[in-house]
Amino acid sequence: MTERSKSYPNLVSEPQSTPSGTQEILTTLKPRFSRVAKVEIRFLAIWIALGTLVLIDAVFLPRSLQRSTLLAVSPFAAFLAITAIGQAIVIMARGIDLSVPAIMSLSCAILIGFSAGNDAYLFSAVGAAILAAVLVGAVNGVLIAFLRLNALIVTLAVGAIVTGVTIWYRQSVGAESPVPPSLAEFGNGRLLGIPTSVAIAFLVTCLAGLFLTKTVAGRRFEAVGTNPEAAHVIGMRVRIYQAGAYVTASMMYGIAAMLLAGFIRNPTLDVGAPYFMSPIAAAVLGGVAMSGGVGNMLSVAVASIFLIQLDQSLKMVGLPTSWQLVIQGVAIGTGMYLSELRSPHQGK
Amino acid sequence: MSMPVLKLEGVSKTYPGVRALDQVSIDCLPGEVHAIIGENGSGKSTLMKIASGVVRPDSGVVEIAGQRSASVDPRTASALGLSTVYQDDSLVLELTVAQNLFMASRPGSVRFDDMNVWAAERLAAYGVNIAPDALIADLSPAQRQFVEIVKALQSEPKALLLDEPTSTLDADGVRKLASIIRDLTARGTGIIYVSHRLPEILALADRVTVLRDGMHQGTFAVTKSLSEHDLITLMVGRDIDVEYAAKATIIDEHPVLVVKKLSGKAFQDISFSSRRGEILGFAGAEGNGQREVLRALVGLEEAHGTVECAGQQVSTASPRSAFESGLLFLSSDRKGEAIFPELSVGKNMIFPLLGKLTTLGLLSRKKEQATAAAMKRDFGVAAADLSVPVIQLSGGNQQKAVLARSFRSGAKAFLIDEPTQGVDAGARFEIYKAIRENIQSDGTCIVNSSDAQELAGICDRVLVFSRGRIVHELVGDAITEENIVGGFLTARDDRQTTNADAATATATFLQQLTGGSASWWVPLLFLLGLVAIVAAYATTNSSVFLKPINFRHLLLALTPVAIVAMAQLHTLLIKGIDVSVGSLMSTVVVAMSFLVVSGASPLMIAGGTAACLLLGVGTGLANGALVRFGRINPVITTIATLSILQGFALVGRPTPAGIIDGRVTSLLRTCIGVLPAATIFVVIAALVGDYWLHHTRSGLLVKATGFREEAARRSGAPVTWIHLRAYILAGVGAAIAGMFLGAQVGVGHPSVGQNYALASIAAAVLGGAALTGGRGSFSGALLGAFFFTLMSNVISVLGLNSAFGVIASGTMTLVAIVLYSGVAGFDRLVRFFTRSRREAEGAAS
Repeated sequence: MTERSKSYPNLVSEPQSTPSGTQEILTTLKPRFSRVAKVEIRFLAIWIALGTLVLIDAVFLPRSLQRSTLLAVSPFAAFLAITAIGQAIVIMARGIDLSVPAIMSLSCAILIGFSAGNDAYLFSAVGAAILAAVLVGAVNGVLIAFLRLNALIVTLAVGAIVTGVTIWYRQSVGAESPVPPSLAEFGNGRLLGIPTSVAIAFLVTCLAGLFLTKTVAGRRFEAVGTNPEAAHVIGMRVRIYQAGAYVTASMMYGIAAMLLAGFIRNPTLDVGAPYFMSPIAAAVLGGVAMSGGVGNMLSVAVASIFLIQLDQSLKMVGLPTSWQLVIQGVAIGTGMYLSELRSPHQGK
Repeated sequence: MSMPVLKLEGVSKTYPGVRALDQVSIDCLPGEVHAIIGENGSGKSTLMKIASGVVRPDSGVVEIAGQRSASVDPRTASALGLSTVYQDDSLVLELTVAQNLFMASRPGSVRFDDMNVWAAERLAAYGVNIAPDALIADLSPAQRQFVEIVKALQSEPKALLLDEPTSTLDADGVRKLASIIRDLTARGTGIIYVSHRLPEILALADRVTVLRDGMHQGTFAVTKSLSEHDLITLMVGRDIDVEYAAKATIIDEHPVLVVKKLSGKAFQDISFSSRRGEILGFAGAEGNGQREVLRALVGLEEAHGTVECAGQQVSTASPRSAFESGLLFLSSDRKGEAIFPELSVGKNMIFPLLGKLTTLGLLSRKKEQATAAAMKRDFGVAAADLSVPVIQLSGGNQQKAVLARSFRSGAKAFLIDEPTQGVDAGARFEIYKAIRENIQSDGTCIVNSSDAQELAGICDRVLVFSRGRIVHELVGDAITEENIVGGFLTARDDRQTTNADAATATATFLQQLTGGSASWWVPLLFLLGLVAIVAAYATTNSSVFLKPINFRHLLLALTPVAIVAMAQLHTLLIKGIDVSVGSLMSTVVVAMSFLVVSGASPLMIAGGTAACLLLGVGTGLANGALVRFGRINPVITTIATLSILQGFALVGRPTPAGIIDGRVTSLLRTCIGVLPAATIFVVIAALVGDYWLHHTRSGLLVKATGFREEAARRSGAPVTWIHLRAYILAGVGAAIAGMFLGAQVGVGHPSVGQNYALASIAAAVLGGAALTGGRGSFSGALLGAFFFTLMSNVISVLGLNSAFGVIASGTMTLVAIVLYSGVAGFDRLVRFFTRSRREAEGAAS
């Protein structure tokens, strides 16, 4: 940061900027309300959708909103929210990540392998698992941002390689292999009455949101996603930010995998499988634009809750789980179609 | 008097804020050369576009050879007898000369196989000496210009529109063009000739029309008494609608920016300096290198030479490194390279100041608002609110926001390309004032503008460019609009034919490699080599591998992979992709387990098969329509389809169940000796596919569409249908592949197709398909699929860990894209590093 400020020497050196600046603040604070209505419709939509769903459930399916149901279901919303935030960051950088399930399965396998179900190695195993995820993300990032290869194919192929490695590695680990007991306890525990995973998801959402809206790097990241060419012209390190998106996202997948492993205690090889499509669906429904740059982490988390609640409601009505996939597909399609309609000034 | 071949009457056109054409009437008689001249932005190109049917006039009539063109469509204009030679090339660079000419010929008029001979004849007829089998990309710009002209003459037009035809030609080329034009006029063709170069016009034209600000200034017969000077006087002298700020009174002699011997692709040997407080103008007709020089100074264009700013050597490797030495570039492509459209005005302006707006490391909303508000006021940005997305502002206010950002960035030298393009008159004045005020103390500014009046109004010094060189320098009172326009209109220098600077050895080698992947046989050879290695290894390490039964297994497993890879190739050829093919295969298998169920009647079997194929057509149509009409990115579209299809497959068969009719499965698995019938089918399909792709007009149009959609459209390719058809063919292919897969598994397995999406893309890419469209072959896809199947076969035969199969498929995919599309990126990296090293060495010595 010091290096940046050096390159921008003469700054708020305008003499009158401070006194009249405060005056300006007063005038600019007022229309903030209209701003919410104007700019954030794409992010508000999912709140409305969730509200409608909860209302319908309250009338027709009250047991889907019972405390016990919510406690049982909310951890899944938490896992989805964390992965979806990762995917949203990648999409904001104009990419896509199809290696999510592979990375999550790898992290779980490494957790089990390194800890051997023993509390003594818990922290090093969790560290190694998340590090492995980050490394895979770095490979994705370098191939996509620096060698400019197609994100879809790179993440599919890297996903395949990681899956292969995971299968191979799991064979050396016993088939009946639980996670360390204290992780299981943690994953199933409560913090102030709410499941720990939910609390952590909330924390991750806030941190990601804070990063994007309140830090210099987050602001530059937003710019790189919105218009990489313009960002390049004004001297931003476009490639670093783009590659960084994959690394950060992979860290999210690693964290989610740890919580998921703790929750289900006995993660199998395809523990990550449900996270192929649903994070993309949550990101798109949360208003993240495929054209890059635009995204709101809170809305993505809300979209995750929406998808899980919808799934739960359908299950309770008696529809098979597979309909979830159909609904996600339709949601992605409609979400994309609507967001294209809303933004007519897209280059391509 | 004979009937005009082209007649425009009372044509007007208004763009937001600009009256581009105002009641202009011109005509062109048979056998006549009618020149149209005017300054940049005088309405020449709008006139051309209206005549050729690209742009609809607000009012007025276009008549071609006496017929009023009924609809605004280039194809209608061309059918009536009007051909256009565009300035920006409408050729497909990756195809040969003959192929480009062939696409423009009337369908059925030339046999595909006679293309080269025919093209050679066409070229020779106009005295153009270019090999018909040369790639357009390998030709010089001048040669391309001649190919364009010959292409435009394919339809034997009655009227020919030439847009700046000599901008890329050297003296010899200009003479040849003149002889072609005389030849055409002798045969009665009327020629509309738009040009900036008065000497040429006076030599060639019979009549000349002058436009100024969209107004017709008069049409004159070219006689000895018509002088260049008369024409220039008519062209300049636009009513002054802007008040200009006072120019700098005293300019510090101390130079801020010094450029020495800068040469690049579009310019040679440029040296100049710019002093503190000075606004230096770059003038010239569009495309004479002035924009490229500006871009090269910040590394957006390749160049070599020395650049110094405030006495320091500037690294022109990237905008970032140039900025560190105090150079900042403002692009004329505001939406593409200057603003962050969806972000708010405030966010757009404060980027360079972000580091100073934090409290405890977090951005402070208060400070942000205060700074943005101050900038908004200082630069007079009119926006209802700082949080309005910048794209919703008018062009002038967008530009002011960009200027605010730039002038607060701390740079010393501001390189502004077209400061007032798309800006209304009122805002212009404020922009000029802002530039002047902000460079006063210690900055300098270079302005490139196509508006000579603007340059005359604001610049302290003007450099006039022609054909990549500085030809005049105007200072003080000599800076008048007339002198600027006269400076570049009367430039008589010819484009020098220079050889591109010798690239470094590594770069050349890598370029050859990339070029290598462009020829169809390189991937095939590569794959055959891989197959040979793997097969040899398997033979020596396993006794089972060469047994006929294993071979049959291998070939049976090949069928679905091969078919789906060929299906995928259809989408890759047009620069699309279909990720949903795998789950479509699963869905088809599940559908078979219901419809082609064991013991079904033949009628049901036929119906079931038809239903499976229809499923493929429907999926393809849905994908294609969403991509094409919904304008949704193909990746996300087909991911959505993937999810929906996979969901349906799982709803149908949550677990594998439902036996597929044995007669159908054994029919699809029929073997003739060792060889499965399906293998023969697949090989024939690949050969037919390749014949279609490489030996028919329809295949050529598909490739052209993939390479360059706009050029293909101009050559009359039905691009929308080609795109839709590709997705439909991919769907149908995947459905057929699914039926063969169903025959193999025999039951309705809901996720059996899961891995086929990646395999199909990888096989096609290994076989030479490029994700950038246009390239690939069906036999390549088949061979790629064979290699994939071989790998998994060998892994199972050798008893290797099945995990290796998965790893191998991923690795192969990565290797394939790194080889065929990553090399270019690699090349860029290498060039970047060699260049920074060279610069470092240069600085050290």
